[in-house]
Amino acid sequence: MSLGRYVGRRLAITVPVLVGVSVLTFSFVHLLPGDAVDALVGFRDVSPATEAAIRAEYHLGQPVWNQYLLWLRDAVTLEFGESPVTGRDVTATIGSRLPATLALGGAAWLLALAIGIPAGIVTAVKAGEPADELGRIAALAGIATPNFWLGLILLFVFSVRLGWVRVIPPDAPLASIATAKFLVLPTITLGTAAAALVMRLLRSSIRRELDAPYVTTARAKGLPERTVVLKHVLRNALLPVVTIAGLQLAFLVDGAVVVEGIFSWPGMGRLLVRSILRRDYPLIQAIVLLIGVAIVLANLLVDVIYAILDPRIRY
Amino acid sequence: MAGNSVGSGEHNRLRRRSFLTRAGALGVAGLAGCLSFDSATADGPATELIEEGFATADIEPPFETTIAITQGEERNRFAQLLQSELNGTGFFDVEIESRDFGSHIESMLSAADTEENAIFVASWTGGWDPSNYVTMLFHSEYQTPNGLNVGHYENETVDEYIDAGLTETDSDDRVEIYRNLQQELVSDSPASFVRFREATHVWDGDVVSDWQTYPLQPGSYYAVYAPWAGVYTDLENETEFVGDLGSDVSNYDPVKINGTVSSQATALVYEQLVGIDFDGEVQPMLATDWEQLDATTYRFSLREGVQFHNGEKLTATHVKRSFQRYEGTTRESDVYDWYESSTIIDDHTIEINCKREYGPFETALFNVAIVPLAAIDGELDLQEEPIGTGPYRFVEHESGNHWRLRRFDDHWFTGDEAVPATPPIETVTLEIITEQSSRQAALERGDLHFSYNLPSASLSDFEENDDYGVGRRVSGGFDMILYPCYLPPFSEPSVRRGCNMLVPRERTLENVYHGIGQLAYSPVSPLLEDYAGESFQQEIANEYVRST
Repeated sequence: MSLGRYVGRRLAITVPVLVGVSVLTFSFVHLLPGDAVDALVGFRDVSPATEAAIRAEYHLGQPVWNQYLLWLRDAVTLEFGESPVTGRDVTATIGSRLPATLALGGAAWLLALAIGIPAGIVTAVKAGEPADELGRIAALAGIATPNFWLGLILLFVFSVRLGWVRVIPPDAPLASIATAKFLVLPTITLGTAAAALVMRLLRSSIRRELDAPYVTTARAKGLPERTVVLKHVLRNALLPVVTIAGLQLAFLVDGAVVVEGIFSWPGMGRLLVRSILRRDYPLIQAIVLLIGVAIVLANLLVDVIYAILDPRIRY
Repeated sequence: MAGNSVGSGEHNRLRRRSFLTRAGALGVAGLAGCLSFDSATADGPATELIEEGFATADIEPPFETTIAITQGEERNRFAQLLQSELNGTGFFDVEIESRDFGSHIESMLSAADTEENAIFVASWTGGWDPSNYVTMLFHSEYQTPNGLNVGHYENETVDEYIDAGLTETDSDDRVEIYRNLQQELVSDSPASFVRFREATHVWDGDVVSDWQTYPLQPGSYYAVYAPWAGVYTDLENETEFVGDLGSDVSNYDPVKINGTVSSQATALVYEQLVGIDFDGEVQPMLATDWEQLDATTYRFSLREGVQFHNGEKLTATHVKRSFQRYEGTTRESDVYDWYESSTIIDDHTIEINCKREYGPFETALFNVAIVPLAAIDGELDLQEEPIGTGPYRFVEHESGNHWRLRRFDDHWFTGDEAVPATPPIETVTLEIITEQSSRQAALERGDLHFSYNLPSASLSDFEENDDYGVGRRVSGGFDMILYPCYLPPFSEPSVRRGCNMLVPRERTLENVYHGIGQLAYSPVSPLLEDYAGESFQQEIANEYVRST
């Protein structure tokens, strides 16, 4: 079938997937003891009448499935309600944190590709040489290093000791030089492991491709090695990397909680964790739904790019 | 070891598990740097008490139980020290279980109903009145889930003392009542008090020359400008003060605020009828004068010329309706526990009627923010923009990023010898930083002028560094162990007394908290010197905890 129809079908399946995700999230969060009113009230001596009134306002006293249906009814019209803990509009809350999350996630993703792809090519081409060994050790280090440790080390060396960058985000808009400068360290922290993964994957993919008959033909034709690798091999070798890159985009967007914490970056990861701890159901549902949408779309994008890169793949 | 002398011959077999646990526990105690022999002598009377209790309750040692804690390195280390002490007696076989904060609270609230077999480690913060430290925790009316009496402790004498303390208005009599109450609580030990916490403030000495440490966290930033307390701060070559907050501000409306950080952020925005200053003395704020007309009625004269940030002028109507506003909200007990009604005499005079004689009256007034009528009537949403009469007005809150206030030029204070009429600091920016290491790093780099509650391990470094100023004051917080009084053998006071004597307070303070804090033997914080000053704590310790 044509690409257009394929995309259409995939988008149609998205809806039941998202519904399933939301049902699971709702159930799991409601299994946790306590609810938002408990978080609000704490140990204060609040009259049962008041507590009941607040519960009723947010439908917290009703059976779980009923609460879910009420939420679904509103969610379909993109109304995600109010947080019972802060009384603020959920969409506005997420909207205020989303740009920051996208900025950091996007930057880390681009870094991962910008470092991973060239590194992967170099180590594949120079296999067995010192450059390759170095690359392998670097990759291992990158994947094995816990990102909170890396973040703290970078913070202490470059911010505290050398004073080159701030410890906390500057008081400037997101799209400014000052913020971009600040984002260097968190991007490196978040992107390192991903870059290492991309590099390793691309390296083995290229090595495999270099054994193929068409490569021998191309070399026999007298094409420079450079053209052989970059023009012919790369296009085939990139397929697995495209898969990984697509999935990573979704994961990076969902919030690098720890990195956000270390660099005090106002992203969605910390928002999600706090919401869970406070049983802030509407906010949890909305964020998880957003992550679900991101992952589904990322997967779809990956499959489309696959089809573009490799004309043999048709659905 | 004591364990072998207990029980009939059949039960004398050392069970392998408890033997290994004890050996391991002794190892931990040794590694903790003090296989001190004063704990061995304290063993004697403590173990005897426990033995007595076990016999009365007809329980065979060792009794298996759990120490329930929240996550965190410090909590874990304290729990390990306690575990080694308890297991060392041979009467207990203790495990440690850590949970996330929400689940920990949940389990405490339902513990008695499910008869959970656990000892809970928890923290509590009281305020300026002794009733804050005991009522919710030990009065039988506040047994969970209606309060924090987790162990479902019930003691008529304690209830009577607590009730008396709430209705007695004479301060000398109150001191007497609370001292007796504390004696009773320590001798019965429904909980063991371990450590009183300290408010620790660190500031950049190059920018901030002098800073006063307010002992209660919500008031940390009063030092910026609090004319009613005679305190203010000036900066060197700067008009913007950059402090921090340990988590994001969630609510701005006084009737909705449920976290310390939200109170901290709005402390300079809202004002109350009276204030409690840095020394615990009541000071006039929006009220200039007051007198008690009879047991339950007080007449207040309100300050003239007070303006709200939205231009309204303060009148008695504002006061009355600000109080009434609490009804039907999660904070209604702040007011309706004691407030009956109020009568407006004229624009600047109001009478407040209490339900009964109320000891903590003035402290309670300090909790009620006076807000503009526009907010009360619904024209303004305080959740969008907090508006009060304070010296600073709200500018912006970037979620997860920072909270900013700017000087309010029409503040009522006209200046005196101690404090200038205009606050020297023009802008207050509080950066929201959740990670403790990052707060410390930001202070070291100079991105912050001030931080509070930094890790205890780093405090000594700052104290030794001349570039920084450090302020430490005992605050209203304490760490404690709550016993499940609903479950034998903890239903026996002698068992609890014995455990109380075994709590490794000194070692915890030194090794886990690096000396930050004070040893706690009774619930009321030494911040309230009249009720629980150091000498009183020593008295209690000598009588009930230390073996002579």
